[in-house]
Amino acid sequence: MSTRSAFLAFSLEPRLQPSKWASRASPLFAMVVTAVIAGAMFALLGASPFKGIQALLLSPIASASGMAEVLLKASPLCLTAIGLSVAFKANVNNIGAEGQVILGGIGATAVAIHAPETMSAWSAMTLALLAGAAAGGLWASLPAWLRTRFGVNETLTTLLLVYVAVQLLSWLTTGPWRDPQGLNFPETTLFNANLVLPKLSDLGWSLWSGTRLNISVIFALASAVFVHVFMARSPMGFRLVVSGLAPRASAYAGFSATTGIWAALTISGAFSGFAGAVEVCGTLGQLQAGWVPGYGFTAIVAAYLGRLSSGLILLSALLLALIDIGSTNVQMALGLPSAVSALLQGVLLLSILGLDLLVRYRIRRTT
Amino acid sequence: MSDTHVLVSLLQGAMLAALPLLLAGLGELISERAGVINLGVEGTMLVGAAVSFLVMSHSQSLLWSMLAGIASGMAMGALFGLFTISLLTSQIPTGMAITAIGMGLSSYLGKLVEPQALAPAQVVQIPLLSELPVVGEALFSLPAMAYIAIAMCTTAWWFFAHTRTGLAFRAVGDSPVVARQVGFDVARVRYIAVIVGAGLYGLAGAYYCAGYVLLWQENMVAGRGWMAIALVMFAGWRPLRLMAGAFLFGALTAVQFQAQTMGLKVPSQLLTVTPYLVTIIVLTFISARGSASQDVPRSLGKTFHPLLSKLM
Repeated sequence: MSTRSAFLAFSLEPRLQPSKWASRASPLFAMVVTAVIAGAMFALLGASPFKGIQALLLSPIASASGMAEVLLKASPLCLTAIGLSVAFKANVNNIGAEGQVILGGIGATAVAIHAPETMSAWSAMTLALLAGAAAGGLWASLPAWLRTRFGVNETLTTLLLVYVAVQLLSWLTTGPWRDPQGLNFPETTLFNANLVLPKLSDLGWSLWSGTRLNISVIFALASAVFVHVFMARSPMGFRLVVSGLAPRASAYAGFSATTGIWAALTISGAFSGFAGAVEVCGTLGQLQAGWVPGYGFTAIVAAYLGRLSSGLILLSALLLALIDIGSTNVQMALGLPSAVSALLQGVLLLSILGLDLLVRYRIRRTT
Repeated sequence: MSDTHVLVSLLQGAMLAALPLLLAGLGELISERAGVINLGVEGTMLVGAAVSFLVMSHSQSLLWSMLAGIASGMAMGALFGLFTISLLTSQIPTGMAITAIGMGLSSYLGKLVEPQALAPAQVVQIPLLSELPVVGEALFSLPAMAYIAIAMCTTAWWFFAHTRTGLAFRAVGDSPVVARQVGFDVARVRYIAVIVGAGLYGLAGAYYCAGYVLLWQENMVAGRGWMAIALVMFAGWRPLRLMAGAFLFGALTAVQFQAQTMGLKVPSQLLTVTPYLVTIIVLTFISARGSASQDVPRSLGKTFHPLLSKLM
């Protein structure tokens, strides 16, 4: 058999330093590649590529209410992705964020439907959001325990728990928590006013009057700053980063791998749970059986697209939210299926992963 | 309903439900034996299902729709292989990207044809054995695909345990650096494993749609791709154990349906959730046993660079 070390007469030489140029340009290239593929797909299905791209990317943000919707969609996505970046940096494959988001919604609902109306909005809301974060963290702690105690790969356990979470949601909204006055719909009662996130227009920012935009945006921004500082400046953040980059070195340095895994999973689970709580207390105002967050999986794309860095993740979340909302536009304007969103996310992720090659390696032709 | 009748329909239901899991699991087993973990199973199964639905609704030929499923699976596998083997990307996020692409692509393809019900698969009766009282109907009167799948599993077992090429695959999976020094082309072996494996995912999805459920729905695979990955771990990367595991998982699904038809007062969510919980429990037992860690292909999930990969 052949012993050539090259493929197609090219060889990949590792760079001494990751290429700065490539690491800045690759997200842009990935977006260009994805836009080209999107255009090609629209053309293949008989629609004009330019009209398609316009419907996908430009018309959603053409108005204040459009921008509000994009921001509303991006905020829980950003929260989840920021949390996942902590886990991925520590080389812990938490791909069950979707389940943790659902548990977050369940946790917030548990507080919301049992809290008295007389409770102050501030304390009720804080309690609900914290309960959501705790529930998400707890859901992620089960794979953490299985990994540290038994060595079970967390990739599979986090994922399988997503399906369990979906069934739990279904049972709660059709059984114990079903709204008795809800005409048998599989949903809980609407939350009291003291448990719905305040809108930005109600807080005085008139630009957003008439839109649904609420303070979830502020939470998303705050989380990006918090995690950036946490990973860059705190001892635990340092440990997580080192254990991801060089597990043996971190073991020699005395950083406990067990603590690292627990921290990575519970932190990312808590952020995902918080995101779910934010959505349930924000735009939904109740828990419904048919609630499919979706951004539990999209957050994985956002985290890698943002190269696990908080600032870029913010931007990626905005872009992915834009594509998501744009794809429903595409469906209405051009009659094409809205599944283009999942397809484009996959293509984006694949492009960024492939272009990453240029960052770490130099391509040389072998003679 | 008599007891034997219930038992027969349970057994048969288990075998039929196990079939897509078995095919997808076999594909993942082949891929993982060579050291590549392909998380794109779910997306590839969906594409296989959509393509088989398209072909079946045009041609009414089960054979062509299965072949189309295999071909589409192989194409997705080639894409995955290109990224993880030649472009040296990390296997886990690449697999997730393939799944996302598969979910989007399959939705598109499924919408190209009007929703319609497909003709059920023909059952093949094995001459003498199908006359046996209970097992006859359950085990020996199954669609042709069941026997093909069992034959493929047996071939895979024989391939990995008793052939030189199978040994090359196992060597690449356990230690690609040493395999390369011995003279095996690691990239080629991994490409073959990934593409053959992905062809099987496509077949699994194609059979699930055109041979089992008999209609198309968005995201109809509903997590079976992930179950197949768990199944491979459960089977300790051995094809014969894979058959037993697939049958067990299929039995769980069959019990779920049986309990509903018998009107048992169990919340439907509890029944739906059982396969996933059982998988988690089984994974825990497998990983807790010390001997299980010896079964894992030791280079599983690790990207191989011809010059840089170090001996593990």
